[in-house]
Amino acid sequence: MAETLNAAQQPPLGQAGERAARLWTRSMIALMVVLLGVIVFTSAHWGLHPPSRIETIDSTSLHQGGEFSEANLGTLIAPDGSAVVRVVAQQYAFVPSCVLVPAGVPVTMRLASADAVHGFLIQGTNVNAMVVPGYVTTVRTTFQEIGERLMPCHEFCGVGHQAMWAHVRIVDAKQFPFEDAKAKGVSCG
Amino acid sequence: MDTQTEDQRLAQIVAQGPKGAISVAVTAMAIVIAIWFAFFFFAFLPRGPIG
Repeated sequence: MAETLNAAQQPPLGQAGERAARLWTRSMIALMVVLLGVIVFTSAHWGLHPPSRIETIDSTSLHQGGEFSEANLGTLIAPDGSAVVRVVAQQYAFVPSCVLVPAGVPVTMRLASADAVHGFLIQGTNVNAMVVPGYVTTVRTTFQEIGERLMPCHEFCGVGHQAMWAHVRIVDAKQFPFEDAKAKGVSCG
Repeated sequence: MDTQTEDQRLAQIVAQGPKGAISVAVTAMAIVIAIWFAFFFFAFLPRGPIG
């Protein structure tokens, strides 16, 4: 059995080895450039960026008025025709528990927590963010497919966490009550 | 096997280049990159943009 060579005794790579090492290094650099290029192109093409920002709110007084008062919860149609969905996350429910949105219309989701750290994702979409007390979570997307999707809380928020989920009902734009939603928030539950 | 013969064999093997290592590395890398692109095209893109 051959003895193990120490570092000083290791044979040199040789010309073929050095060529292979150079080729591999170049290949890996090219691969990183391709992957980063795909990410940068997608981000620029979609206007993709981390789905939250630093926007503070007093979580202890959400129910007393302001943006997250009861009449504002649900889906409102903004003057530019886009939809703004406001949801309060609290132990252990989302309010409203059924979000109604029109398909093909840009949607801005704004969530605030009334108590603990929550999170939400919408099944089958890239919508996925945390809802931290004291901050407003904002995510923009456009739902293309009509149907109903689950929106569970994905941050452990207490003993009732597993029961905290809502639905997002995506309806044809013709069936969405645009006129009602210009005056107050609409929802399906 | 004497030391000289062993060294010669080693030199011959090294001169041929690390074909086996390259094959393993290329295969492993190809699998990882294929999975990355599969997620990108078949999961991430169909789920729509967010911002």
